[in-house]
Amino acid sequence: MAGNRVTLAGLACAILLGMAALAAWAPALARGFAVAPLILFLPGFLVLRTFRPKQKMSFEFVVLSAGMSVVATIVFALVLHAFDAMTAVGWGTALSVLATVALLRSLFIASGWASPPKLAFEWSGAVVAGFVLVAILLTGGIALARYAAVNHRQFTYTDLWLVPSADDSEERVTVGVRNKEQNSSTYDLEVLVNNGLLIRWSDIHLADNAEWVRQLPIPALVEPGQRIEARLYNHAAPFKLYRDVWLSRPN
Amino acid sequence: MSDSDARLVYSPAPEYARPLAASTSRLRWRTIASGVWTSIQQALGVGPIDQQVEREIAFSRPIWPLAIAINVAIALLFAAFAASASRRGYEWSVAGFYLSIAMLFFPAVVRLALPDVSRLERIVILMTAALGLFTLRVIRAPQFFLGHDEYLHWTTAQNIIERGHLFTPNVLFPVGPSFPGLEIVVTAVAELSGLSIFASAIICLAVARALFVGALFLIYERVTGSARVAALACVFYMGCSTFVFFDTNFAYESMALPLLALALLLDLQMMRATGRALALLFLSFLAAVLALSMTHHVTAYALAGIVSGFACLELASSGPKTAGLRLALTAASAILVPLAWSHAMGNPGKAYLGPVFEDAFRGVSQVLQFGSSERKLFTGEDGSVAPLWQRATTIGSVALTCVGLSLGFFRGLSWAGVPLARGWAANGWSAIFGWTNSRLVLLTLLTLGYPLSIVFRLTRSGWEIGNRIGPFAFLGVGVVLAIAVVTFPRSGATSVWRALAIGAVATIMLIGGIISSEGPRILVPARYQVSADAASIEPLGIDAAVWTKEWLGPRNHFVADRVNRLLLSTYGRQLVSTTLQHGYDAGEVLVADELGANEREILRKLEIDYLFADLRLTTGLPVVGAYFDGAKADQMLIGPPQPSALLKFNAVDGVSRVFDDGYTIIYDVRGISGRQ
Repeated sequence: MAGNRVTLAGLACAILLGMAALAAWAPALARGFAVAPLILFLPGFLVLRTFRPKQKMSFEFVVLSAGMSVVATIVFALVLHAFDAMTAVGWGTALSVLATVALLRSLFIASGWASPPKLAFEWSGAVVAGFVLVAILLTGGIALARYAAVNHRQFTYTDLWLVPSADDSEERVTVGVRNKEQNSSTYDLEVLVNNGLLIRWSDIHLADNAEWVRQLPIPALVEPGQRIEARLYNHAAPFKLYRDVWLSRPN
Repeated sequence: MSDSDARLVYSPAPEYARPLAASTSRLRWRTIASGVWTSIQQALGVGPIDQQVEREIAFSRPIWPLAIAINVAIALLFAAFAASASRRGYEWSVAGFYLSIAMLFFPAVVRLALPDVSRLERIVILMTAALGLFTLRVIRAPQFFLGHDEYLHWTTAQNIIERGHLFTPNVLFPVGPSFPGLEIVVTAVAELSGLSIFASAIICLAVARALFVGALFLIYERVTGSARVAALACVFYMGCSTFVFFDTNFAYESMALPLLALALLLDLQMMRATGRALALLFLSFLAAVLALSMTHHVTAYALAGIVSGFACLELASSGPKTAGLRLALTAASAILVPLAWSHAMGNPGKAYLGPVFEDAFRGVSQVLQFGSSERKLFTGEDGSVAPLWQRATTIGSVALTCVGLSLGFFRGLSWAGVPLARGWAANGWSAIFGWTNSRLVLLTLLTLGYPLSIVFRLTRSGWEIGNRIGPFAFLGVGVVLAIAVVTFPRSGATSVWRALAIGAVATIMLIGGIISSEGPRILVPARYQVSADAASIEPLGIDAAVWTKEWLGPRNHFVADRVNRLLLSTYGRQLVSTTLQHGYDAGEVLVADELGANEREILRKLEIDYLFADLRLTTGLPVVGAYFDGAKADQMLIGPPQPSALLKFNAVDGVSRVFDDGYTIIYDVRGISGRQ
């Protein structure tokens, strides 16, 4: 009995410690593995173990633990919502409160838990090897699918943009080029004001996925209909206008 | 009539009886008719059935579960090859993908169909198959969300993370923020782990899938008293068209169905509980109903219907009953909690669901009057036709389901102890209402929803309703088919042959269900397709949407087509214009031949900042039937939009062309809309 009580207290402490560990730096993937049971299994497990200590650990208990965890998370969100606290800190606090309640409750459990079941089958080297094989095949399958998805690019293209500078200064604009051609490319770029050449950059060499951005001062556009225009030429077809963008003053 | 009676009746008439030939002839016909009727009754399962008591079997060496897990992993590897091949344009890829699903599923079902398998082994194999099928969803979309509805829910999840609270309006999906259960769980994992919403959603959906199948197994096991029937019922449930892909989407039904199963399981547990345990279970049930009400309106109402139906059947039954107060309380809470939640949210489902149901019933009415059904079966909106083998498999799966239901309906009722179905003579009301298992009676009656869902699916406007009825009708279909295959025929086929046959039937049903939901477009193809959701969401559009956030900042008012506005809303965090939001279809500004006074007025009224013109729209018809909302902009088009229409802004004074990647162009129209 005392052992069972200690087990519940231990679990609750584990959650509290887990929350503390999560607060510290940890890689996202590791935190993902740690958080999934914290949100999707342990709250329900603690609630059920606290209020139904004699129930046998069974498949049904596992299913109910997962289900009640989801329920507890959704219902608890209403409380967090009231405090605008659906954040990492808010969720961490909610789990800590739950763990603390379970910890306090464990001090008053009069009867013991049902013993956990023994392992249902014998482990052997062959069985372990089999599970390792399953893990390898499964990981390989997902990795293959992901590799194919990441490298699936039907369209090759180059982005060209021309926008007012972020400080909203009317006298500066930002022009940018991003190469998504899946190989390195060389470009020429012209900036024109009211069809007059303001500046020209030649032989802009960009590797795949590379970006080239410049801010440049421009004369104020006073008259309606005036425009600043950026024209991009690709060395693969140097005499053809490849991309064209402009900023126009409203009438 | 016993066999000896039948032999007596069929014996040739003696010579002295010839003067009575006429009456003998009548007797013979009556006898034959009686024999035929008896055969039909036997085939349909009217009469007592053999509810075999299952032996306790020890499970010590996990050879079969391990072999099946290895098979599942190999099948998934093959599925990944097929998905990769599809992205490279190989034609065999779709057939290969379906084949890998059959390869994954068939051996597991065969093992589950055998009688001498332990309960634990059944659970392990069932969960392996269920999670294997879930992994197909990851293999199909391992990088980002592909489903249209997933983006709607992603927007709500992003709003929760950015604001730290619920109920932020979502113009893409106005009803969504009122039912944020799924988003709550996913954002909780995302917030605490730092993982992306996509990765967190995959984790949560996998747990939801395991929870659903586990709870379903436990419900069926309690209702039928058989782990074998329960496992097979789950297997047949997987033949529901929404099971493998639709209900694993990042959409509210994917979390709502597990919550529905959890609530039904808790309801079942309350049957045997008393005192404090009953009170705690009732509180758990109440919490589950509240969580379900916060997650999905239709599923919450379905639970209310199921629990109330059970209460009515239990009260009507002249057999042993559960306490009336408990029944009344559970039924009342299952009805009132969703209504209260919906009322608190301002009844958003009324405006959302009302038109859908109206259109659906109108479509069904046309079909029943032999009018135009609107929908051509196996033909996409762009005119593409599914291959013959897919059509045959789908029709075969529907036919097998119908045959199974006709064989299992009375067997299900008989298993539930309905006296008439057991062939007992009528003896007052008790012959009709004397069942012993109200839940199984209700599940059996739920199968009547299956033909209804088929009728809805025949219409374009009712297709969605038919699709949504499926998950609830299959709660009954699964268990009735399982009872049918376990008890039919009464003797004869050996266990192995029967198991192989069950495996084949269940696999055809599974594949047929997936085809009727996903069809030939189950995989991402090599080539972009116009307005085709999964085949339209690709890196170019995503990059453009990300660019808007990076260089224009979030929360600008955009007009874009159906697919790009999803990307702009999620990757770009822009405010997109929808007909649902304000009744105007801003898409007509994009597709109109000229920027006239009407278009300028729309830009001003809706305070539009930017237009997103995707020139790829001009290359084909929309696969899903609409380029925008299916409203005015789509009605203006008799074919693909003209490039000149999308590029007309080049010649408009005061319009800036701020972004160009060769396929998509972003125009700044703040000078016209007055936002500058």
